Amino acid sequence: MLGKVLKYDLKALCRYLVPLYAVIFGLGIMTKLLSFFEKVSIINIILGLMIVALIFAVTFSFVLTGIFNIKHYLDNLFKDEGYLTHTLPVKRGTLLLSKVLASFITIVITFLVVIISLLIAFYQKGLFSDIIDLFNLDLGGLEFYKFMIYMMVYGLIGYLTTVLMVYASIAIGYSKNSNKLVSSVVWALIFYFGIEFLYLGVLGIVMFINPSFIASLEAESFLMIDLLNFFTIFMIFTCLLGLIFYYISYRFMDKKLNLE
Amino acid sequence: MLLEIKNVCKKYGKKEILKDINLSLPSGKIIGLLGKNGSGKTTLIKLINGLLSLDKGEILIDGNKVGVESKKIISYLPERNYLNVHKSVKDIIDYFGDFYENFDKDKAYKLLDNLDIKVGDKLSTMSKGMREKVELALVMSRKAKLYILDEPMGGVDPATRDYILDTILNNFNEGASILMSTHMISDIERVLDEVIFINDGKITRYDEADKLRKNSGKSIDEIFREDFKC
Repeated sequence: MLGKVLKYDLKALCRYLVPLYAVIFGLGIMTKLLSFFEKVSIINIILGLMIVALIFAVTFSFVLTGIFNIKHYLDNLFKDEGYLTHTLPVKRGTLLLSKVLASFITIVITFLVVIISLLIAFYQKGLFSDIIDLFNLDLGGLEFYKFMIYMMVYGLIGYLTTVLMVYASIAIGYSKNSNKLVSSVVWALIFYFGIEFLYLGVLGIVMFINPSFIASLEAESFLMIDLLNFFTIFMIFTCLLGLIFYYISYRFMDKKLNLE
Repeated sequence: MLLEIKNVCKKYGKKEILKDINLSLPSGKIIGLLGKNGSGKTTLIKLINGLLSLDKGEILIDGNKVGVESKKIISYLPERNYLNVHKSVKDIIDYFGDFYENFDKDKAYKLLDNLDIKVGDKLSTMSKGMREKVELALVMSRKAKLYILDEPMGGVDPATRDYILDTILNNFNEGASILMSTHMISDIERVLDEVIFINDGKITRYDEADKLRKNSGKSIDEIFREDFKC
């Protein structure tokens, strides 16, 4: 059943994401085409505007992907559509897992669309060899590409945890009898500030255990791997938070559903 | 028993909506769940469908608690438009076909064809009334054991009411039960085998329709008006 639910979740998200991807690709292609005539002053101005628009679109595409996923989660499970979704012979856990997988898949696709669009817009001869050189660059004892992979994994975990935090807030807020949306927003704020506080706590614990750590980051002998080890603590902590938010969402959907 | 409701209570905040409801409904009957607006009909139906959580009590459908197994055998029509209006009729039929093993696509296409609805039509291009007919056609295209129809004739004209009632009667699975909530009793009285009166969250009557009529010498509609006199 998971495959079927996921198929329909992705289809529903396509309604929003396809136009977004079309805009990003369109801006990438337009930027490239205009760059052939950049010596014409008026076209050069338009090219500049196009690049600004592309950068905006690329930046907001990740935020929009998250918003679209959250909107779909809310509409599909807690509003009128929920009358159908929750009467399908499918486990509540499957419905939730599908939403999380859809978030993961769509953010990866958004990332790929952004990369391809940027490559289209700014491709020049020798770009790929420059990228390969950059990836092999030594960064405090670690190749740049390994650092990039690490940061992308961390970014993905952070993104999914944020989405799950909002999912949990909605699941709690919509279990109430009134002011459901307001209650969801309040819970999202409580979770957000709670997380910030917990991160500070984790940082405090790290500093307590290893007080010389920050000083070592500024030293000449600084090794990137030390920084990554430091980040790994936060990554594990973020994963744990994600799992807690998943459990809260599931629990409220399973035991406190309130489609009144 | 097809549906057993034992000591069910439900509150919204401090307000008690259902108060210790007990019911056992058999297979093969058309049962009217009758009550005024706000009497608890929809809440009870939502509990049977798992759209609300129980505060107290137990609901068994064909021996199963509310869950995947119960949802396989219940075909439910809510009191509101619940389909994604951006989908086409074909998309919706495929959706039902994918999730409900007992969904008969050919029957759905036939019912929709009778309404002159094209499979490529989007729900967003249809009127509210037409969308309700599509939803009814989908619900009645399932070979379910229990059809639960919440106000299927709410806010529609008399001609459409006849269409809705005919569609229900001509298409429900043989041996199945229909639990239909409404306050438009005169429209459905003739087809009811059993009636449940619900008032202020309590079951006030549950009996065979013929027996009620015979004992009182009145129609169900008249009995309802007497019982629920303001």
